[in-house]
Amino acid sequence: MKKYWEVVRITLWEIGTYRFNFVMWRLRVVLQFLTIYFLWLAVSNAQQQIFGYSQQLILTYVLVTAFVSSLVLATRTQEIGANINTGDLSLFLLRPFNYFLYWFARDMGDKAANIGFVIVELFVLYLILKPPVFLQTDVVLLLVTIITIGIAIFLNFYVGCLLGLIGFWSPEVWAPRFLYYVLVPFLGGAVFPLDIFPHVMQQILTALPFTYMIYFPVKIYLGTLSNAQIILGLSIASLWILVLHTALHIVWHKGLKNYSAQGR
Amino acid sequence: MRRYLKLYYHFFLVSFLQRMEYRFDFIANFLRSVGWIIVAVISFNVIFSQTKTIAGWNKEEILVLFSIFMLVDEAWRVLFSANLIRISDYVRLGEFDNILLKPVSTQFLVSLKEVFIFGLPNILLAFGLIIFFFNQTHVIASVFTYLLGMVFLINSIVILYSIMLMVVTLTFWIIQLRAFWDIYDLVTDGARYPVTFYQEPVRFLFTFLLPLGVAFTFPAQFLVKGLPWQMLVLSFGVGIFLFILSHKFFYFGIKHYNSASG
Repeated sequence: MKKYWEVVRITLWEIGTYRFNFVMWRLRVVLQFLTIYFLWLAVSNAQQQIFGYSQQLILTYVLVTAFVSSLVLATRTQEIGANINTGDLSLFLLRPFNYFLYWFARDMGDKAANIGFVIVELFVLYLILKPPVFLQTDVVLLLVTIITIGIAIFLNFYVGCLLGLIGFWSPEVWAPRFLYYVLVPFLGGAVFPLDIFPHVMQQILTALPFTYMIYFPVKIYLGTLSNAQIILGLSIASLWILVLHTALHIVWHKGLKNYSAQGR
Repeated sequence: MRRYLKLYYHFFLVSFLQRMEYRFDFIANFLRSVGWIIVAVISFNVIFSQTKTIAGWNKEEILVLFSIFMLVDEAWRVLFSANLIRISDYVRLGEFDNILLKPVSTQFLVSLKEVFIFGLPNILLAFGLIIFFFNQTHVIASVFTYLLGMVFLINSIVILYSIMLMVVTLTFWIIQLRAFWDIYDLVTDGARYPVTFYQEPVRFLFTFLLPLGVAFTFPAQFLVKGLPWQMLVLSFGVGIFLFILSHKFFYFGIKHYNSASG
């Protein structure tokens, strides 16, 4: 177990080593947040109620989404593809740790760095912008939110790994991953709340795992879901974890059979 | 001048032949843009279904801005993305000596050697979108407006290039620049929406410090709403200024270059 903590520590150290890159990365995250925040501020100034969201609710949505996405979407699984293509995978297979636990630990390091700074940045921005936010006080709901965020982290991890494993069959992994960078935030509710979409589309989205990565936890926090909806959501999300876990297992073993360490 | 044009033609041919080995990437890159377009069109339709205008812009006008952004972004990618990102590697691995020795302008070589040809269909796509969405705004434009619009877009590409060149020049001092795409995204994220969306002080930041307003909003505004001539002149002024500045900074950086062989 201790070795995985080392992985977390090393990931954090890596991030901190290149100061300039680090500062640029944080600036970018902050600016991205400001862009979305101001977009919604402008929209909610033009219109009192947007799809049932008051200005307070939509701006809270934006803030909480920023927090949740930094925690859920932060990942290092994009390195898996290169790891396989360069043949470095062989080295990893020889090492005394589970391949996926390694990447999960690496993800945790990345998430720790992300969330640490996001909290500070959001706090500072909150003081400067003074958005009208809604603070959830129901302890049960807060607990459920935390649980769903945990589920979301796993969902994102599995999808990331699966995409990385494409490296077994194709030299260029960046293209599907790029689609992932565009689609997941969109389908996950990071760009805007999913109940904006027509009912049919919402139903389709509920069946997909992406909704449970960002939108679902945030909605629970906002307190706008009924108990039945929460239970249904948790069930579908858990089912997806099972499906993705199995898929990962199958793809991994198939991939290993194909693997011939060509990079080295 | 002709020498450089001929040289570029060769760059293009070589890049084309090299890259054509990876057919899949063509489709993948194209799909990336298509994905972006779908997301953007749906997003804007959703946002504007509840309100006619936001900060003085209606849906059609915003979509023109988006298409312009896409065109400038894709054109920049085709021309410069594969090259600027390598400068960090050249410096770090000491390969810059090789480049400095060549009998052509270093900046030219380092900026344009590789053509990201996969982006070419995307440029056409973006161009088509601009025309499509522009027609939807029902603004009548003269030939002069179109021509000036094109020059405006070239100006935007130059601004984006100059900013990224200056960023990459920093590698002469910092050596490792992993955050290249982070910085690119930082510079272009705010460009997708008109600068009037933002409130002070962010609006000031985006209009003048990171001249996104100048590079992206102004051309769009020029096409669909009209732009006071002072802003037009300012835009070109900023473009020329940034180009000269980045040029000087780049050569200043080279002076500080310590090659691997000392």
